[in-house]
Amino acid sequence: MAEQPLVDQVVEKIRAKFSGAIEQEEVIRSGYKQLTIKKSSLLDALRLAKTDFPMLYDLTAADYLEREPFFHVIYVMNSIQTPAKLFLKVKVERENSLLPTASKIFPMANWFERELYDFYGINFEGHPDLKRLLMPDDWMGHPLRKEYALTEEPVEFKGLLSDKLPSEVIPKQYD
Amino acid sequence: MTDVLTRQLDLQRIGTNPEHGTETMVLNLGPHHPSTHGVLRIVLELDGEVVVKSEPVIGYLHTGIEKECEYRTYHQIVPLIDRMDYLSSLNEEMGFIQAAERLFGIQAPRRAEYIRVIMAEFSRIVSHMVWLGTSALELNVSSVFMYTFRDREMILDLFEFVSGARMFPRYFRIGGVLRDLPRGFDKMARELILHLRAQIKEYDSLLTKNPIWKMRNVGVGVLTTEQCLAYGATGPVLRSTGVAYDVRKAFPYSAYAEFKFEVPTKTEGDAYSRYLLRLAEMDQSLNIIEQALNKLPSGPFVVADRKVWKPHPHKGLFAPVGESYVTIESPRGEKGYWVIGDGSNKPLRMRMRAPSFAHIQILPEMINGHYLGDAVVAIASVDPVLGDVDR
Amino acid sequence: MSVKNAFEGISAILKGMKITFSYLLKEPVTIQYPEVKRKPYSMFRGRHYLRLWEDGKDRCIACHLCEIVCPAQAIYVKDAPNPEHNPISKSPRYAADFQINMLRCIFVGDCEEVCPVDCIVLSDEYEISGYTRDEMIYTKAQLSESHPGASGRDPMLKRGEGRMD
Repeated sequence: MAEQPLVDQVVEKIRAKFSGAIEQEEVIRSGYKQLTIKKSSLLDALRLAKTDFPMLYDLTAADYLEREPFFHVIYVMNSIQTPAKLFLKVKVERENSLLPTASKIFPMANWFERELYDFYGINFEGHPDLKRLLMPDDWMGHPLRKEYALTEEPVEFKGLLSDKLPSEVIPKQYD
Repeated sequence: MTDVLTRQLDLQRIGTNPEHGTETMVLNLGPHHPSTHGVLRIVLELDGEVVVKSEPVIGYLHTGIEKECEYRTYHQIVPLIDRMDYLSSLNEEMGFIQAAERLFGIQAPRRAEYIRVIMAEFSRIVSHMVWLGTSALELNVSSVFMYTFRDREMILDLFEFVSGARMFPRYFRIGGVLRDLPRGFDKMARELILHLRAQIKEYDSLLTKNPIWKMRNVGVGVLTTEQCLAYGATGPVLRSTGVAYDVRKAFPYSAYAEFKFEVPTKTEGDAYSRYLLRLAEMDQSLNIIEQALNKLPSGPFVVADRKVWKPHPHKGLFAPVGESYVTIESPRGEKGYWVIGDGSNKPLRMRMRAPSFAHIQILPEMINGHYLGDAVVAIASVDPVLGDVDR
Repeated sequence: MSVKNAFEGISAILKGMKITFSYLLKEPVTIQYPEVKRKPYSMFRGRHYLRLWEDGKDRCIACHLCEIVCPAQAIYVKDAPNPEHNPISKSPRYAADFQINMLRCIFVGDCEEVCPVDCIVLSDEYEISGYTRDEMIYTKAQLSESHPGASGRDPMLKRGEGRMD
């Protein structure tokens, strides 16, 4: 990726205005700078960044159960005139997770937050219509959480079923 | 998804219009409606023929690919990715492969990147042709549908020639491509380019000035730049409002930095300008392919390290700990891939940010207050692929 | 609508009709399937075959690799020690049972690529259908070829040897 002075400017602005909001600053492997910010200053940071990054491009999460009991929620913001991307990350505890909604600032967040609620069970405070989006209304559980097991069945062959489930054939293993 | 009955009752209760002394009607468009481009359902509240309120309902094609990916090795993910946006599988593969290669820190050989660009651009044309054909069919222009599908088949023939499969080629892999371009590819591709150039002109003369086509498309499904930015719309939808934002230019991935091409834009922001843009994009894609064919470097088509592209079958490839987020320009817009490696042979998380997802969310902005007939045009004009939306 | 607009509109429609009518005189691009069958390109990934050696022995050595790499888990292999007096393959083991569930197969060709003895190959046959689910599970007898290359597919060509100049 090309150097992104715009990102650095915004980082400086956030740092100057909300001291201590940035917990961590890292460059992810695809070359973008990612800020881990405190949950309490998330909306302030989003509002501040909106002038330079007018589009919230992605809002999604990952479950880091194996390492820490947190969901990592990322906000990817796009600047349109000078191409740059700003990555904001918030860590949310896995139980009773609550985040302030960004849908008041970016209408786009409406569905993306619903998706996160659907898949991870993350609640968004102040969301206008927080309900399931992709899964059926009466679905139990939140499928992308790590403790939610993948539903699969053994493969059928003539007169027998295969002895391993598809995902067990190559087990997850570490180097 | 929302329960049909409660939703209908809900809308009926709210949806009375005292001004006209009439009651509004709730209409379910889809999920099995021929003109919703897949299993999209839109609950429309109609006052006569005018849409008062609308709510897209998605999830009918949800296949849990993101979850499934967490249980597959990196090489087994590629055929899954193919089946998401089934109209431009090679662009999907491109996105995942770029994200995965950044995660692994692998640089594919230049020849491989060129081959990828050629195939991905052909894939973009395939996707645009399906779009043009089906959206013309919805306006009862059935001959265009025949022509675009005929030409699409020719490109699919080329995919079959190169990779062995037509719709789901599974051609790219981490570290390069599955196999080198076969003998005779160059000739076939160049003939195809000539043919497609002529065909695109033909579509243009069939539709662009046609008064019926114009009446149905001009001024329909209008969006402003502000609305696009607010709802995260990208691709031709954003470009039709005058913003020249193309990921291939903004964040060049693969070998796109080495090609000259234009990013066509329009300022009207309606369905007609999106149609013109897609025609122009097909032309630009052909330019890119031609340049790539002319400059195609010789050399290997996969990295030298055999363990990368043909890993141990019992183990797969072990990813380093880290995240990788890459966006690519799919025919529908900016498509994002977030791959998190945790040191194992399977990703901790795979996230696909679908452009169609955002474009479905923006639909009410386009169709509320307009005629029902225009709603169909508006849906078609954002080119949603429900496999992409629901994943 | 002014006269100019009307004229433009009519001429655009006439132009379109000209294209449509010009196809009346052209050769059709469709083929009369199933009377005429399309021959796929040599790379085509269709129905599987298990190749045999020239002397009729199994190429398959029951190494289970295809079973493992298959992303759809459509293959089942059961290995057994090769009988000494009447060997079935040229290795210590042979495939006592080999089945492919064609309903699950997604034709990615990983099995063919991983096979160390070029036994399993994907042919150019694309008419794979059946009336029951059971019918779609192909057994070893169905998959074994009468002679190597009977399906007309040469795995060496698949490995990129027919390289573009």
